[in-house]
Amino acid sequence: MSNQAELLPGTLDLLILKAVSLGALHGYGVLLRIEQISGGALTIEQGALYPALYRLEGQGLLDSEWGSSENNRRAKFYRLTPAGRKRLRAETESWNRLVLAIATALGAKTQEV
Amino acid sequence: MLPRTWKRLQLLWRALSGRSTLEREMDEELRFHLENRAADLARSGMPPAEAARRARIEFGAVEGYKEGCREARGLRPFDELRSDLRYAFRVLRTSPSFTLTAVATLALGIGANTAIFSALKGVLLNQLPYRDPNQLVKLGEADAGEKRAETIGYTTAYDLRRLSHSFASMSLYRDAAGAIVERGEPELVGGLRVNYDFFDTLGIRMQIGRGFLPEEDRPDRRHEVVLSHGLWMRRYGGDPNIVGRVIRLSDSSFTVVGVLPAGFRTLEIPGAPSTSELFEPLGYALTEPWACRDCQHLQLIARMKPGVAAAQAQAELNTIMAGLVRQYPASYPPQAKVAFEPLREHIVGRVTTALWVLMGAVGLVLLIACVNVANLMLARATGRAKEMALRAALGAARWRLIRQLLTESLLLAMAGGLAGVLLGWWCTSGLAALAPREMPRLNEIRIDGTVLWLALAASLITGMLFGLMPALRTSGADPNGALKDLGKATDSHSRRSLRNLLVMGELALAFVLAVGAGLLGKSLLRLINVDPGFDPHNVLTLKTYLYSARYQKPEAELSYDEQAFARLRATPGIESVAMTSSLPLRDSDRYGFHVRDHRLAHPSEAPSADHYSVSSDYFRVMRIPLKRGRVFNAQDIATAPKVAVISETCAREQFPNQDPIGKQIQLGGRDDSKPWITIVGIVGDVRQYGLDTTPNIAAYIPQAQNMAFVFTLVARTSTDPRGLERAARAAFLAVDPTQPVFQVQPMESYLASSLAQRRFTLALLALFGGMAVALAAVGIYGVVSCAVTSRTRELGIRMALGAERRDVLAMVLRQAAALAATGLAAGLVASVALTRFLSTLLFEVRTTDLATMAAIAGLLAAVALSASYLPAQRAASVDPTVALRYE
Repeated sequence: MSNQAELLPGTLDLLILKAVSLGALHGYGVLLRIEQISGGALTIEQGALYPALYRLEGQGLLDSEWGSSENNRRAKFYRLTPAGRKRLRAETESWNRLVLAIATALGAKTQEV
Repeated sequence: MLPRTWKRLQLLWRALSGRSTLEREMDEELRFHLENRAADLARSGMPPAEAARRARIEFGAVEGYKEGCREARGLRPFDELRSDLRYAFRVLRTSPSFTLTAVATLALGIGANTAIFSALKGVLLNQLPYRDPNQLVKLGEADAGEKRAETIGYTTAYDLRRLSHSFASMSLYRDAAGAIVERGEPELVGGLRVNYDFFDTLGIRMQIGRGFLPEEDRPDRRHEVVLSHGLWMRRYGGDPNIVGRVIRLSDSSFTVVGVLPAGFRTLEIPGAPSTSELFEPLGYALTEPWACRDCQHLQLIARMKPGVAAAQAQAELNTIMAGLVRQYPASYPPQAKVAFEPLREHIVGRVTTALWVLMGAVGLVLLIACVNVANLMLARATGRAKEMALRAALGAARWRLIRQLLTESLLLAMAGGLAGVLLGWWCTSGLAALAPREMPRLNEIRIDGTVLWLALAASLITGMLFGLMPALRTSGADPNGALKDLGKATDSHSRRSLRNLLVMGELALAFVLAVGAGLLGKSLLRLINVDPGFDPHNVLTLKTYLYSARYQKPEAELSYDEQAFARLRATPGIESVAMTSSLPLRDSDRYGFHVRDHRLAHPSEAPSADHYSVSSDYFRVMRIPLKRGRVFNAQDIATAPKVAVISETCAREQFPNQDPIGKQIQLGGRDDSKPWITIVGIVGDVRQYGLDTTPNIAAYIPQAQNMAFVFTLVARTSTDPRGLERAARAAFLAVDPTQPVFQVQPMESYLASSLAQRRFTLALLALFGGMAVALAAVGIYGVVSCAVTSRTRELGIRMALGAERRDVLAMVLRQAAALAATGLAAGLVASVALTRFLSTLLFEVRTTDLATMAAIAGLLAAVALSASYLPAQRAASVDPTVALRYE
């Protein structure tokens, strides 16, 4: 448990978009997919997922549809809209820039200053 | 961007339309999550019960996240609105008497406003039903600076048309009439003689056929006729082949060339029947004797060219007129101008003040209704202070409480508005039915979209008005203090003084309205007591119209009258009969008045006198008193010396310090080669144009010496003249069934319709004043009884300490009296400021009439005190032992 990282504020939306970009998912599926693709390194407050999903849907980044789950139950599936795909790309780029900048900053040695 | 907006709208719609579906789906989604999680945990070896618990713990606070979801959707305001509404409904349902009182009060206010506004809009605000009506103006010759555009002479109008550039067209018209005998009883149909371009000037298209052609508008033609839709349907059964058909009008044949659309509204002419049903070409030419510059008897409307300003057009006309006056000084008074009125103003101008006054009055009634409901809500607020304090203590934000209270008042207002619109709907049709026929555009009054929008706006605004202050007050209560007073009905001092202030305002407004009604009422009383100069009771009138060629000779017409007279005199109930060419309060017939010894510089400066051609018994039938000399007798026949009788005012003004009897006059144009008329008598003045108009000079000529083809019978009856209408009509039809008789009416009905407009305004203002006073009385009652209730304990102590019943009574009444006195004083100030808007509606009553104000003040004080008497008595009959225990 100790090797799990707390989520940075604002990154939940990005993770949801990424998870859903790999294929339509229901809410619980989003949770599992994030755990899976992060190698179980990130913990997510399970309940917090839903307000985020509703917000993203309200912003038109996600679309939802009722379908049946792998165990044949009715479930609400979310998929990425074109707007969502564009947003994911932009957010990913800015995230990478941020990570690079932080990493560069943290890797600085005294003589380079 | 657009799809996102669309998506949002969809979500919002789903949220609002199927709120419960959305909640269900959210529940299902979260349950799915929890069950799947539990199943996954169980699969890893956890006991099922433990797995379910674990899943719930991992998930966190379900309700909190649900709220987060709702908020994420942006639906929270709607949820709150829903709950506010639901709560408001519940609150209002639990106090039905309060709700009913408030809704009824508001319904009265909003209903009255809806009805009056629909009248105001239909009559004053709506466009006239002509093309680009704002370009239409009514023109007339103004000889003495009069503003109102009345009549003009043909040649003057001809010159104005020829010399001006501001107008697209100008059309003359005058009244006309034709008797239709074919199919059914002979009927006299009123109409207009119009220039060929009259309908184009108004912008009216024929329903079938065409208008007139220029070549049809000539003296030698006049064979074409245009029918109104109503006449076409009524007399010709809507015959689609009517165009081209020849019909008989009076004694001539006319070819129908067109039929007007049903929506056509005719231009009214003073003195002419209000509905014009047939239209003939005017057929004037400069060469006709009646086309002269002094022959002012035509009406003129004009359409300004697009883009021409009214002031510019008016200035141009006055420049032209000044030139004409210089060129033809004998034909115009030196100061002659052109009276220029926008058509709308010309048609509705005379009711504008009355309608705006009524609108102002209903506005005040609505304001009073608002105050009353605000007062009710404040009274209730006392009882709800605890509830509010509790909610505030539990964490409700103040604006949330205000919103809740405002939702309640808006709900009340909307309910009141809905009931008000229904009431207004009913009132509007009542209004249109009760309004006098003299009211212009009466048939255009209806409730339409704009009126409904106004009612909605009025409801919302009243809701805010009466809701906001109580809401601010109630929500602002200090929770600590209110909760400490647990179980006690608190009524803070400041709230009581606010309620007192409201009641005073209410009384002041009611006072203003009642004073307005009082002033109008006094005017009407004054007016009714004006002596019209004749006795209108038990007089039957009937109009004859001899069009046939066989009545060209005066003897033939006189014999027609004499035969009818013989039959009428033989009818039981008819005492005496006479004929007149001009009936008081209905007709107007003015002639230039020339005195032989008094030569004027310009004949056009001669005064114009009301002219009557009457049979010898006229003065006896109408009971117009003879002051000096003699009235006409059987010897004043066509071949006898010409004689005249003049009115007292005429004698005084035209023959100052002289004896008019024996003096010689001429009527119409002065022509020394024609025989002069000798004055033989002086009779009392008659109010020809209405009780509120001072008499003009008047001259009477014997009928035999001045024949016309339209005469009105006046018959003095010994019984109700209404019962003799049929007999009178039959007497004339028995002499000649082809000549129409019409307008069979008691003389009193003309008197009534001359007062109708005032009566109508007064009745409505009195109604609104009464509503205002009643509402104010309810308001006072409410405040005083509330004050008494909250002081029960204090009163009990007073009585236990020895106060008498009547001391308590006097104390409560004294406070109510102070309230009333302050309110009335404020009302007095307000009414001095406001009643001047009534000045044009009053008759011989000043806008600051002290007697009226004092009487109204007394009335309102009495009403206020009787409204407080009930609660005061209740207070006085309190049993001290009960009161002391009262919480």
